[in-house]
Formats: sequence, C-alpha cells, structure tokens
Amino acid sequence: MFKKFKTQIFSSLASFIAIVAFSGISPKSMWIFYEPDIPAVMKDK
Amino acid sequence: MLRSCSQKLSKMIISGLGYEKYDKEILEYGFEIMLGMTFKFCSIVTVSLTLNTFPETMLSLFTFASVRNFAGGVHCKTYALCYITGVFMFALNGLVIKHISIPLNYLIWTNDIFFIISLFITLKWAPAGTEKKVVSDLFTRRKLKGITIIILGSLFILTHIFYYMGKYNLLKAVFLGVFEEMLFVTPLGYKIFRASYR
Repeated sequence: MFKKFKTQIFSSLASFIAIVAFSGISPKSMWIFYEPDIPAVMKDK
Repeated sequence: MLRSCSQKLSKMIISGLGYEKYDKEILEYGFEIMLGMTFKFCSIVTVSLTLNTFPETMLSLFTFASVRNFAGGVHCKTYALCYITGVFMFALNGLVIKHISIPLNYLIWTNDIFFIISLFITLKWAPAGTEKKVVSDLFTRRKLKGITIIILGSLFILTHIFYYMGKYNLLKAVFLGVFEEMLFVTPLGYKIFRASYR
C-alpha cells in the first residue's frame, strides 16, 4: 500500500518536473528566470 | 550548486520510482529551472517586504515578466549573475517607485512617448533570442511579436487607468517594468550583459 502510494507521488513529481523542463525549451522566454543549458536529449524534441 | 542539487533530486526520483520514466537529463533540467525560479522569486519577495515596497516591486516584476515571456531578450550567462541582477533590479525598482517623485505632466508624457518607442522596438527586435534559444521560425516570430504588441497595448491602457485613479506609484511600476524589458530586447541590452544578439 505504502509502496504504491510512494510510487504515485514520485511519478506525479517526475511528470510535473518534465512539464517544467519542456516549457523551458518552448520558443517563449522564461519570464524573469535563468535559462540553463538545454540538454542534448531535448534539443531535437 | 543548483546543478548538483538538481542532479541529487533527479537521482532520488529515479531511485524512488525504480525506473526511468523520463531521461535523467530532462529531470535535471526541470529541477534546475524549478529550483532557480523558486529561490529567485522568494528572494525578490523577501527583499521587497523588507524594503516595504511589495506592491510596487511585484507589479513591476509581473509587468516585466508578462512582456518578456513573448518578447524574449538577453539572459545572464550564469545563475549567480541572473540571481544578483534580478534581485537587485527589482529591489531598486521598488525604491525608485516609492521614493523618487516625478512631476505628473512629465510622468504621463514620458510614459506615452516610451510606449510608442517600445512599439518600434518590438517591431524591430522582438522576439529576441539567446545563445541557448533562438526563435527562427517566421510564423512563430510573427505570433510572438503580435502577442507582445497586444500586451503592450493593454499595459498602456492600464497606465492611463492608474493615472486617472491617481495611483501614480503603480503607473511608475508598470512603466519601469516595460522600460527594463524593452532595454533587454535591444542590442544595447545585449551589449550591457556582453551577450551576442540573436
């Protein structure tokens, strides 16, 4: 039960962070925030 | 430091999940944006609360950010420089807005003239890219330019609403936010940060 809950939490967190990452490679600028180097795996997406 | 924290957090997620739902590099990149954003925003809020300039600083920040999202502009090369520049700039904005008074006639005229200039800046240079991100697709460029013009038009109307309401500090906040963003879109802004214009 706890293991399933933990997996769901980590899975949701990973998805949220991935959304943030993909918004970082959109043509729009990152408001007032720092733009880190885009990783190679994301350059062709 | 930001990078090592991001690496640790992404490792933690992958080991917690037991499999790689997303590439490790994607999570690291996402965490780097997320942590940098949270730390910088919290610092700006703290400094503005300390200086007692919270509404002015926040309005200038949101104005700046709303135009920057579509018009682009120069970005600092390192997180440390980005953090120092951002926190210092918005703290200074709050202080200038609150403590420097400008005669009303000059204020509204300067505001109007500047909004006309910013329209030309947008038509000529927006969206301005960086070494890391260049917007080269013509359709996307036109779309971002159009949205920037609509936002500038809305902000122009907002400054006049503030003027007629007698909220001069809020007018100055919008003006300063747009002024700084427009400076960062021009080649002069790139020169200040020693970045190459894209």
